[in-house]
Amino acid sequence: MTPRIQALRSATLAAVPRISIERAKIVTETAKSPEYEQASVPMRRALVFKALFERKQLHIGTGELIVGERGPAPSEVPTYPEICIHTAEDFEMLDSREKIPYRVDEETRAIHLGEIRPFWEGRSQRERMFRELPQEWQDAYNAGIFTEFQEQRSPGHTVLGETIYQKGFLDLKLEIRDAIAALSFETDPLAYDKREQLRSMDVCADSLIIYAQRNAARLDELAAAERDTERVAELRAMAEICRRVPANAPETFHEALQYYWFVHIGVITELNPWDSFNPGRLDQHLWPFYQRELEQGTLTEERATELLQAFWVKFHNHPAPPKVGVTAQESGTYTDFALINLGGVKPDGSDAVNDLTYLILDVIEEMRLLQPSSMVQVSKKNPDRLLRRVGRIVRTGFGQPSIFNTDAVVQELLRQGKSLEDARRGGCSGCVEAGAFGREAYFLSGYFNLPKILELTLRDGYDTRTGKQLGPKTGDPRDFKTFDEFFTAYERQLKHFVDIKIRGNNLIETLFSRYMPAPFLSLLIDDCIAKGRDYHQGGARYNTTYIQGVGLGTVTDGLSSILHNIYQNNECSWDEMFAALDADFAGHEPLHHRFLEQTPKYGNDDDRADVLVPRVFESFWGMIDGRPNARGGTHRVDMLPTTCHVYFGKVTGALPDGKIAGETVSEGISPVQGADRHGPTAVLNSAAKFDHIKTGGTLLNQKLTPQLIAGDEGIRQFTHLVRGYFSKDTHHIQFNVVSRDTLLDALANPEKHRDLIVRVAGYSDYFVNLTTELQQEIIRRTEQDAF
Amino acid sequence: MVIPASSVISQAPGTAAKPTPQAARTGRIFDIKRFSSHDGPGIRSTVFLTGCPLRCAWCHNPEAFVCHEENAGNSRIREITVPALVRELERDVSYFDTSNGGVTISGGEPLFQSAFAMELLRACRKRELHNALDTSGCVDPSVLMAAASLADLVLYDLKAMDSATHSEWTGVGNQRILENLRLLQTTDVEVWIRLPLIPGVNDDEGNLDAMIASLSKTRFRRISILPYHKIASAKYQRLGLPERMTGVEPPTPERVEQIRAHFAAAGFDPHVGH
Repeated sequence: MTPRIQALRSATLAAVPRISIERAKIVTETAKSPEYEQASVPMRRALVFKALFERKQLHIGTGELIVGERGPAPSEVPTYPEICIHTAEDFEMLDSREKIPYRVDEETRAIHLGEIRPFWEGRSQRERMFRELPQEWQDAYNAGIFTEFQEQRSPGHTVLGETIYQKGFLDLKLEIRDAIAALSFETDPLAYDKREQLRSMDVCADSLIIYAQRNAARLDELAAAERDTERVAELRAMAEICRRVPANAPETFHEALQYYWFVHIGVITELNPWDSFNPGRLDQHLWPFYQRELEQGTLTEERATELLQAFWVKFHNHPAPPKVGVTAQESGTYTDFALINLGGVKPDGSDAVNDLTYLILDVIEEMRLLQPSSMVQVSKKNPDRLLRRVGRIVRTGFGQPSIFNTDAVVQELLRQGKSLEDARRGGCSGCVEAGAFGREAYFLSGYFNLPKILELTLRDGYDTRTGKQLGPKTGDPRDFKTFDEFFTAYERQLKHFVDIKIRGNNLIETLFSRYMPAPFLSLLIDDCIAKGRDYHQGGARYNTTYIQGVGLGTVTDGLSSILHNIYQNNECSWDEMFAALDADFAGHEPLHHRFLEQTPKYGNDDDRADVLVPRVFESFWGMIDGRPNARGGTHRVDMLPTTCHVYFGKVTGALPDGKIAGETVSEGISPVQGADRHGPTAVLNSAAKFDHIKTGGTLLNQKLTPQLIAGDEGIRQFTHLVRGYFSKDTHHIQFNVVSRDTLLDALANPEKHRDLIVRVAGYSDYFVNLTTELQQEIIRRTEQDAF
Repeated sequence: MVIPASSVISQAPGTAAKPTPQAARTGRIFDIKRFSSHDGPGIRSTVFLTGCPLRCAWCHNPEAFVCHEENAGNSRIREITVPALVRELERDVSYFDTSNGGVTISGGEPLFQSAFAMELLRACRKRELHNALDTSGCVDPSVLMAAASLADLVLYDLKAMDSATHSEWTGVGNQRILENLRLLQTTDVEVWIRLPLIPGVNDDEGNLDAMIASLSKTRFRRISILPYHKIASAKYQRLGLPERMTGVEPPTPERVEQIRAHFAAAGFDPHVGH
């Protein structure tokens, strides 16, 4: 790492995020202007965008190679009052909390409370949504049956394709001009809407060019004042780059990175889209520039590395915008889920891995930053050495890169109706969500609490926590003669709430398309220009709405307990079950023990439990997949939780799998924490027992210690393990290589770490099952491995 | 739970394994380890059969030869049929495929239940599952040769070249083991020699040189050096067995490397841990 990168990296790691009021001020002043008042809705958004990029402060840090910040300085995070408005309490909490704070100074508070909040109160998108959403939706939402992504952030959820590496904004402006010229006010009743949309895109394109020119001018000023002749040359060159891009298509590696970064700043300043924004297949996009410049001798591997590292720092300078209310309290991360994709296949289906893939992996390993996050797509066509290289980085224990099965992702996208080429150009973003990069608007709409549905089924639709009859009356389980009758009741409850969620989704999407378009983002995603439609309005080639199922393991184990303990083996009656659940298992320890220890559980490759997995999945999937959204697209299913399984656990009471009230539910498609007892292959086999191809993503976390994949042999086994799992057409796996601290915690609180697998001596075992002496030895070995 | 030593019925050491007369399709096992990587190539599932003619002081599977009445002391011991066992072992076939792995039959001495073990080897072969037989070599020669003809790989333990030392630490001399190794030389089955490296027992130059001299005359080149570790200590306490390894420390990584290099210099293909 060069001294320059070391300094930039240290600075970004040391920065404490602060709230900046700059954006809110510019947005509010613009919204009060007569020009805004008279403009169409898309043009209003364009005026806001233009004002932001003409007026926002510039920041060019010492030694920087890539320029552009969202706020006035790194880690200064704006607010988005047109989407949602922070309260004084929100700011107090964000400012004072110990973990993941956002500092808010007095001036910011005063301006926010004096000027910003009064103007936007009643006008924000969040308030607009809650005014419109029906009571049944609000009740289910408050009960924790589902969450709502668009409540505090704009949809976003997309990834850039290859457009910007081939076209400058001047080219896009020509396309816009042609599209406007082709509009027919004689025959097309939407001609006016399309023209306004296209004009707004055009204004946004100009605005980003202006912003780049402002940066160029500032770079020249800095060069004039700089004494170090090398830096002077560098600043002049950077100014030249900012004059060329984004106006023109990039010609060099450095231009390509700077172009993307301007675009990134544009997207995350326009609105606060989910998963920030993301260049996607970075090794593919940059490869032609890298290869050409290496040949020409205008770029070296070292310089490319330094530029990429500087690029990495830019992502890290941008913590996620802080949320409001309870969501703000519960979000404990600065991560904004930009997920760089590497590897996979080319549009013609051939192996896409190149030298740059490995170079970027080096950058990931060396930078070791939380942001941007990274993943590797692995196709059967990619070489094993790619996986081995990944294994060595995973082993260092910071959870990156995650690993995806390209061959499954392509099948998923094809099933959803994407063309073969578009599918192969795609990948995964956010956590694990499959998408056709550069062409798809795939909104995540909310997590869905499947264990809560099980609880409501047990309670005849009544929610004991909020004291409301939330669901339909599907009957007292004591009257169900068979397990199938119980399952039918579960499916009726599920259908009821899925329908509520989908009606809500369609309403919310309509409100975004009507009131909060994103003309800048629309510039970048095919076919918004050609259609003259906004990204939020169905302008993209593909328009998907995901609902993300959470708690597959908990529901499966709960149903397994009912099936085995009540209907098959007569271990307990419904009365005994309810007595235990009502008491949260207090005084019912033998039954609790039976549920936890002697009932078949998901995650053990045990078909007695696993036979229920496809049943649970298919019922959820069948109720959602293919149903229309409000943008001319369709609803699809993902199985991922982020950290929502903690919240869902809190709002869900005791369950037949032995879960006590408030306890976390299972995450992703992983087994209930501690329920798996037969090692990684058994977990992977269980997880592969439903059809991942029908989803747009599944998330499997596998905990490992460094010893488990120690040495070259361990790396080979790691490769085989991943290939074995992916041979079953599964979507994703990530390895959580545990730290010494976790091992120490496992020593103190073994009950919380029953699923922790450690390498012992050529084989693996559960850490908590080892003798104290051996546990100590493993902890010692972990220390050694840290070197 | 601690079992009083008096209630433990151990089958006597020193009796070489003979074919079990009947119930070949049912055997006794005490564990199955999945995702095992040190019992042959690739990712493997290793099944551990009960019974052993040896009493190696360092044995880390003492449950193999402790047969408590009604198995009260070891609930993991279970009877299982060959078809049921194969069904369990082949669950990880996807990982065997990606890693060129398979099934390893270990123990104890797996050929202590020879008919069962051979039925298992045969069943693996019929289903194209790569099978490895992990044996002490202390078995009837005809049994070993029959089993070897059904195995894809034999993992063959060699503990000490001096018979008195061998007897002192394992309860039996090494004559039969060395003879059986010579017999294996006449077959074409793949053999990996396994050397449990026990400080103070067999890690001296004299023993290692004797081993090299003896093995140099064979076709066997693949050596697995398995350094002693203390994992089993707690098992001895739990099973109420006398512990002879108290005070013995695992060999240092430097010493292990030295020995590995020694074998390599003599033209062998030595690996540590697997």
